[in-house]
Amino acid sequence: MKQAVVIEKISRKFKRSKKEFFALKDVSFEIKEGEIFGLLGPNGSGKTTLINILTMVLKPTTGDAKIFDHDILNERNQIIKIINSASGESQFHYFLTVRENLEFFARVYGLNKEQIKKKIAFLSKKFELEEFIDQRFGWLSSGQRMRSVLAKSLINDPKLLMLDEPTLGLDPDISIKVRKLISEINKSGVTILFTSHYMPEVEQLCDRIAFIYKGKIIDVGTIKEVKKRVGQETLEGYFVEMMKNESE
Amino acid sequence: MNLNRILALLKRDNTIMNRSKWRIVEWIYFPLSSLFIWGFFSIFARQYAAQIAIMVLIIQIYFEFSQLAQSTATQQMMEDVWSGSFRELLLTPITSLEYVFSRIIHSGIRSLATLAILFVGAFTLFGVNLLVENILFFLSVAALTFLGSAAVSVIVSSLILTLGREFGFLSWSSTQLLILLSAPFFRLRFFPRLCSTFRTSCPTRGFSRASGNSLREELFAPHVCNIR
Repeated sequence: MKQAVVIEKISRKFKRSKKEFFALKDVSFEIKEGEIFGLLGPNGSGKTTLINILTMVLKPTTGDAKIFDHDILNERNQIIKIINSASGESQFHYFLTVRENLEFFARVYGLNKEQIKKKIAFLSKKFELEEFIDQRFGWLSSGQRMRSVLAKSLINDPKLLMLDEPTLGLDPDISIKVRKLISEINKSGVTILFTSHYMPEVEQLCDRIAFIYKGKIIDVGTIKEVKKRVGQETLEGYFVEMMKNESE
Repeated sequence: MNLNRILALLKRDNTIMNRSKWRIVEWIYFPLSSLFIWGFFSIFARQYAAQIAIMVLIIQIYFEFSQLAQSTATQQMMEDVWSGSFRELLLTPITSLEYVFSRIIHSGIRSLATLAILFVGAFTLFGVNLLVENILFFLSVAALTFLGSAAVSVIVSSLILTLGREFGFLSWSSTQLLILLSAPFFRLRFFPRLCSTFRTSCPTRGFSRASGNSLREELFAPHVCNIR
């Protein structure tokens, strides 16, 4: 299977209150084309920093990564067209309606008027946005916002989708809907990098996972493999065990 | 009404305010810089008492225009940051140049429309026919003012992006500071040496000096100031 993402020794240093610290240190792993890859780790372990680097919002201090053979340091124009992202904290401008926001993003990705109309009709149906598509984003509930943001993330038919805690703060019924949508997106051929703190969700969706702790990758493998390595039956048990091992 | 809740809110607001030391800009900087700008202007204008009304009005019109041209562009960016949608824009094919350029065009259209309204208002309500009689001159001044303001908005936007969102106050205070330090109506030696050094190299200095001269020498000569 072809590699969708190849991460090679990425480190990222930050400076806060005159103190330097590494949010990521020598991170390396690969994501295969067509899989849902889970990135697990406690709060502040570097998951979002890594996603920000892969989406080219941040530059790594050292190291490099390739997305579908394009280099993140030198080929932004090629990469940006084939990736997209959504996170539990993603926001649109609150004064614009969902439709206006989607139209804006579609236009930015170069779709013409007819294509925009078709695309929005398709996404609106898929993500059940019809009810509130003409309402201002600022007026929506968190579940409606998440569905809108997910719809935006497919506006350019990405080959790689990065989802950073997409079910954060959602009601269980909405989370189930979002998970179903993620699964459908993946089945349509989109590779997904996924982070979540909800282990049953990761277990349900992901093919393989990486465990990140204090900016370092501690473990990579299929869910079956990683659970077996620490002798746990659930991913939740695996997570707790990994945290215990690392803090010792 | 619950006094305890009100006190809790007051404490909270006070803490939020104190957390950003730059809020002092709102309390001290605006009132003081306005005092200096218009105080010096009043000293300058005493020599040309007959033309004071017209001068004040035209200077105020250009100040408003410049402030609007600069702050509209910067505040649009700030709004993207505040609304949390800025990151979403960074994830699209939009380049930084496109982002800045579109904001400058937008602020240009809005501020020029405002300038046109101010010109018409000054002409029809206050009888300042000087603006109409010298329309080419005043439009050229407007174009130069806009270019300067756009440049300031780019610098300010970059500074806010680099330094962080707590420096957002720069978006509505920079023009005021530049005009103060350009000092069209008072002498260099008034400010401490450091300010004077900045002032001599200040990009708006040449422009403000030219405006000062044109006010002193030609445009505001009594025969031109034909107030209806």
